[in-house]
Amino acid sequence: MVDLSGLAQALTFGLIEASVIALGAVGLTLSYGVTRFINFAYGEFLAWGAFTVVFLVAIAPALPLPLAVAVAVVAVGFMGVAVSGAFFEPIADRGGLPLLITSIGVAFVLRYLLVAIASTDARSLPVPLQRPVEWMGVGLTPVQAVVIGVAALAMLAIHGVLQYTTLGTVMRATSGNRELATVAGIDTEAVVRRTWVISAGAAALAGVLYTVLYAPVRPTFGFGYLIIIFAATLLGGIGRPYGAMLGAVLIGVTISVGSAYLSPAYDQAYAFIVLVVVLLVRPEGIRRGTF
Amino acid sequence: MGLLAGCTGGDGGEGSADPLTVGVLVPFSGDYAWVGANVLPVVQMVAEEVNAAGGIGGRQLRVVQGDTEALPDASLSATQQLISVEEVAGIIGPTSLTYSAVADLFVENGVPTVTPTAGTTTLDTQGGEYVYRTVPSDSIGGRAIAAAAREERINGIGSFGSMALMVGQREVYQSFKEPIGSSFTEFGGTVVSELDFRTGKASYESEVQALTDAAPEITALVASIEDSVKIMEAAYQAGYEGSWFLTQDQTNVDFLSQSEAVVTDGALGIQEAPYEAAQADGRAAAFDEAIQAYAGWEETRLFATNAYDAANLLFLAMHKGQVDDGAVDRASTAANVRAVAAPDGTVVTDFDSGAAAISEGTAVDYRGLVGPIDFNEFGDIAAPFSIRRADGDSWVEAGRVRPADL
Repeated sequence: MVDLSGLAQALTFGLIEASVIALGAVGLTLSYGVTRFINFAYGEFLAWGAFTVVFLVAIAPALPLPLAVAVAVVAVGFMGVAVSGAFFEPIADRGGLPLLITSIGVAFVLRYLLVAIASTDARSLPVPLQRPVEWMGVGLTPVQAVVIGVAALAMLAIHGVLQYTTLGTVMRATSGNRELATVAGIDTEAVVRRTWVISAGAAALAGVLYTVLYAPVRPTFGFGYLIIIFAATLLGGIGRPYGAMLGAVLIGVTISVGSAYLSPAYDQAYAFIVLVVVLLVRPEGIRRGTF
Repeated sequence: MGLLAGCTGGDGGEGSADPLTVGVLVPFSGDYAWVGANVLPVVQMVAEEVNAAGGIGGRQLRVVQGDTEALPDASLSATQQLISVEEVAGIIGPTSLTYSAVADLFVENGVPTVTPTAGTTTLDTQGGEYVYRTVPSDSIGGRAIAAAAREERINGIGSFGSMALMVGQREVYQSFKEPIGSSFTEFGGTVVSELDFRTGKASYESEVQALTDAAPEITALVASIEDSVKIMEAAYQAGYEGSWFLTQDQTNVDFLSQSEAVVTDGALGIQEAPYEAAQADGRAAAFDEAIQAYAGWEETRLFATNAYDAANLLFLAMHKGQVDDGAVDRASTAANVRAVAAPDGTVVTDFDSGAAAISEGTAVDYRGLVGPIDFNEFGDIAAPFSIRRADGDSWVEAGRVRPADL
């Protein structure tokens, strides 16, 4: 017989991890929507976000952590624009494969630049360790609750931008057909730049939340976690932000439940089994629609 | 392959003959780079002392690095490089992380090897001809952990009746699993859970949930520092109330600096205890002072005393070959490692006194900083252990386990 509180606990852990995955997946799928290539350098933005906060709290211990996180998100957002302008935009018309290969090279550049600055040492953020608060047999620490809340707020904000702002409208238009959007008078280059800010900023925030939950971390953690983010993105249908959110929840819960009831040694395998099965049945991903 | 670390101690005089090359085969890069950083300065310091005294048969010692990166394939390349290109006369190393990958190379090439770091139980029934070690086997360390967990008079906290084993899925960690578990049962305790986990994961919530469900009084955690911090913090956040017992890799200040006292306070750990005879005659303190000044350390690091004994044994074995045969070769050095620690010889405690006695034709019994260095048939030694308890940002000794207690 299934222990319901154990199952609820596994689902809760799944939702906590899904919060991090979802932020990363939404950011990745947004940039894919307007650039149309799979960016292997994306995971490095997670690491840069986390280590920017580590750096800020080290040089300014009095700086409130939320302010340090906000600075890191903005800084990495603009770093995304710079990386795109330097490496991706100049070859944007060469097709997906050169961009993909370039992104792998950019990933190495960003990773080892961070290693050169921060060394390979594992670091943590000054977040208090807390005992769980139990409710109906399910334990959750206040920090874990804050992580879920921050991710939910960030996703609501992205939803607001997409649905209720001019930027969201032109982003959707550019994502649908960039050439047509250009003909229609939209400054698609500006749209791409702004999308990069949101995309890289979301990655930075995901990296910070990852570090809050799973510290200590090394500067190389982003690339490893990118595999999970890819799974959620593909599951949701790449280029579809709301699909990425759904995909993240499914991946997070699958990893957690599989680890709890089968074996924790194969956590990433569970995610990819689900991905393969879903894509065999629904190649377009779990969410219908174009965005 | 790592960088060359020249250590010839001069450029003239008796150094006109070809230098004798000695390899230090441990990780110098990657997550275990700290092992190389702890071992190399000690070997270099001893080699410089030997060179300052005229070297071995007038030949200066030259120390070179072989970087195993803690990876089997890199270890294989580094070992082949040391043996075939550098033509080393002997090797100090490797670690348990890569021992199995290169063990055959030592035997096939007849390379005398003294490891200050490999506690792996794989060596319990190998070695003794070419491979020796100056670190006790994990089977003895695991037994000491079990004994200390059962005995309040040793750990100072209580007599733990139930234990969980959380062990990383790498040879270096798995080596401890059977000795701890079987010994704990033998000493009257109950192992309530055995949990092998994949190392290097982002989170260990599921593993920790299984641990809290088993509700052991104490958990023996055999893992890297990074994984240990994640597991112990996750366990704290999951409401785990039991105690912890850690191995040598975690029983250091570095581990305590990476987590919070609320998690680590009261955790038990194990380290080799200083050899009482070496403490009593001031050798341990003299070594601490010398290596800290030489390497710029604030405290003597893990494996430093083991490396000191390994270097002295290897260099004395070379010297004996030079005195007996007029030359240093791998075969005689390998045989002489055991010979210079013969229990019925004249007691010596460093290279100078040992070399002088050997030159006079006296059989010597090298006694080191980690223990009396009495090799069994497989080239293993026994040594006392210190049981430590985490208290804030430092470890305090709770008790000792002597080989006779086990």
